[in-house]
Amino acid sequence: MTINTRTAQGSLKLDELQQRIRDTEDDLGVLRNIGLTDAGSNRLTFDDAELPDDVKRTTLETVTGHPPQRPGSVLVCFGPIFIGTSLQQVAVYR
Amino acid sequence: MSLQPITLRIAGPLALATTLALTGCSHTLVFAEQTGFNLSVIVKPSEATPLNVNLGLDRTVASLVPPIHENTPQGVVDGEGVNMFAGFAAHYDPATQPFAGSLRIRTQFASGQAATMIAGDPNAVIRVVNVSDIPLGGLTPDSIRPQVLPLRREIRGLSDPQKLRLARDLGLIKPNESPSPALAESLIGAKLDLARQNESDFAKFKATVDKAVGR
Repeated sequence: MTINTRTAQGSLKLDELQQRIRDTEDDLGVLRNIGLTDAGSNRLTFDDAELPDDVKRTTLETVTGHPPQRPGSVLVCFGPIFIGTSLQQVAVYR
Repeated sequence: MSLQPITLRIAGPLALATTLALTGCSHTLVFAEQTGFNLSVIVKPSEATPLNVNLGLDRTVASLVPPIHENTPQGVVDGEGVNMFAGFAAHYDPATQPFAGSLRIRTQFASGQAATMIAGDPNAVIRVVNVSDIPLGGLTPDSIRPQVLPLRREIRGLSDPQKLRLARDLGLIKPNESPSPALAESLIGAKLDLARQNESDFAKFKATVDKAVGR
């Protein structure tokens, strides 16, 4: 298992960040965690584990409070990150 | 003139004490850190040393590491503690004027299952204890996107000698170097992450893979 971290600009919109994460997952493995850096950007952690073909694509969703269950999806992680320069609670589903 | 600092000397211990009070004696890993940056500038034009500058970094880390389990009849711990790795980096970017640069302090830690999973992989531990600031790659062009994941899977399925050869052919390791296949594959993955953002770079990368596998 290899862990790779990347930083993402806090100015990215949710759909932009989601697509860039999906593209990165193709070569660095699945997203495992989201968080903040001390420089006002987001830190993303990828796990280079081989996944079967039927694994769903990663989806980001802004939430209020604890993320709800999504039928057919698994909650990967959640937490506050910058979306469009504002701090928002974001849940990652797959 | 004397500037005195910016150290919150009670913040770290207070936070740790509060956390301990809240978690009681439960099996909760507690990790607290306190970082103070001290800058003192004393200007005395009348003296032989008119400018006296003192700069210091004070860091305190405290961690309460619980046992994985208590497995004796008396409730005595007989096993290892939970895993935790932490990293810290301080970097000063100088500017043209004295004291106008930027001081960046970065920390990162992994615990629990994440730390357990990486404990056997020195390269992964290094990545945790070395906080990286590699930016997230851009979008993959539509013409390339369907090819990236299959190519990554093909690389993952290479034999160890093939991975090392590919890493050498891509210029990621020197001819006389023999890193672990896991590290070589990690470097190759990072290279692919750059190459996929550009059609010509991706074509070159793919051609190198074809050569390494003897296609």
